[in-house]
Amino acid sequence: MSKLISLLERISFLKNQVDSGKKSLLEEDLESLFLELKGLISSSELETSVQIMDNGTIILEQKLEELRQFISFVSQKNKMLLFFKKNPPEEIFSEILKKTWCSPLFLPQFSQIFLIKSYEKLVLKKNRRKYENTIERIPFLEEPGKLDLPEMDKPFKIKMLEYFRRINSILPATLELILSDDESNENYYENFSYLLHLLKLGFLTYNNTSKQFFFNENKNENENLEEINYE
Amino acid sequence: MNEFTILMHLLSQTKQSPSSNSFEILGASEEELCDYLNYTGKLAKIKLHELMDQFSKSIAIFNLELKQNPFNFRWYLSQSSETEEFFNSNPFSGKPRIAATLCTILSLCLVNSGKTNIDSIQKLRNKKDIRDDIKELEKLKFVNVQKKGNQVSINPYLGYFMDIEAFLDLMGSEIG
Repeated sequence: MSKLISLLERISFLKNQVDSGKKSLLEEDLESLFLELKGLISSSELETSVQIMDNGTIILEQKLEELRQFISFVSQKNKMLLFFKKNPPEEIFSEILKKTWCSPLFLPQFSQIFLIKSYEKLVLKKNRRKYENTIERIPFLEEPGKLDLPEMDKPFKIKMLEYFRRINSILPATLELILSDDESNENYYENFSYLLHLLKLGFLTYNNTSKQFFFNENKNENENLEEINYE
Repeated sequence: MNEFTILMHLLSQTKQSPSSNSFEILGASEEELCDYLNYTGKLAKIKLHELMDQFSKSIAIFNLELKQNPFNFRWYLSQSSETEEFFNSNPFSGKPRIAATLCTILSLCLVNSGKTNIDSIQKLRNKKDIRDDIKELEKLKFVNVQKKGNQVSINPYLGYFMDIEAFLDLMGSEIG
């Protein structure tokens, strides 16, 4: 970007700020901007120079107007003194302050450190809550005998009965022995869940001393199997 | 962290003035903002104002406004007049005497190159004693009173709470 275009951008920006009432020209040093333009004018960029002059003169005119208003206010000193000497009602000033009062936003604790610490606390709290929920859902903490197994659907029941017939010949046996043929994790857990259901339904019993599973002879096998098969 | 986060932090920060421990500075100067945002070169201020324009639009939803203190030229965040009216946070409501004294001091300071004295204020207010009013205004950090002598000046802190331009307009219309 050429120096002249950069100057044009700065002057256009200043003009926009003044037009939108965001900036007063009273404190603005326009002389240095005009001197900068004087040193940069060239025949190759005549059009840009004309644009700068165009905006520059508008700004200068606005500055003169602001200066005139300022002088006019200062010259009102006598008028103002006269106004106060007349003892105007104090409520007038209350009303003026009410219309011009605007509180700034005080956020002294709104520092970066404060925000980071708050964020960390929030994450910790969220994680703790998540962890607590997970613990509540773990069924192993339930008392033995009170465990509610998930409902079985028909394909599951059929597979469970097939498994029951398969292990029937090796009973009584320990858990390790019963599950020793299951190579993959998937089979292991599937067969383990069959064992749990078979225990719950009374087809198997478990001896805590010998750590062995037994076939429950008191259970009428055929009847129960029929029941499960055609439920 | 983005540029808006930096602006939010700098414009809402408060600190003690190095020259006086009774006056809090709010917000940041344009130079400080450019420094923190790492805007350098001739176009730094332009970039800063463009960013502040966008920021100003995004905070409008919270009834916040970006303003510049006319006494120390620092930018800060202010509540909109709508919020102000709703919460009635003006400390002079129900205290017209203090409000009148502040307006007198402010008017005298504006036409007397920033300073006035207790005698002049007393003369215009036409009250027996206005020292208590001035003390209360000093306590609120809106005026400074010189310990030796009786000179009174406006504390730049007042610039954070008052729209000076609107004040001049309203006073102008009262004077006629």
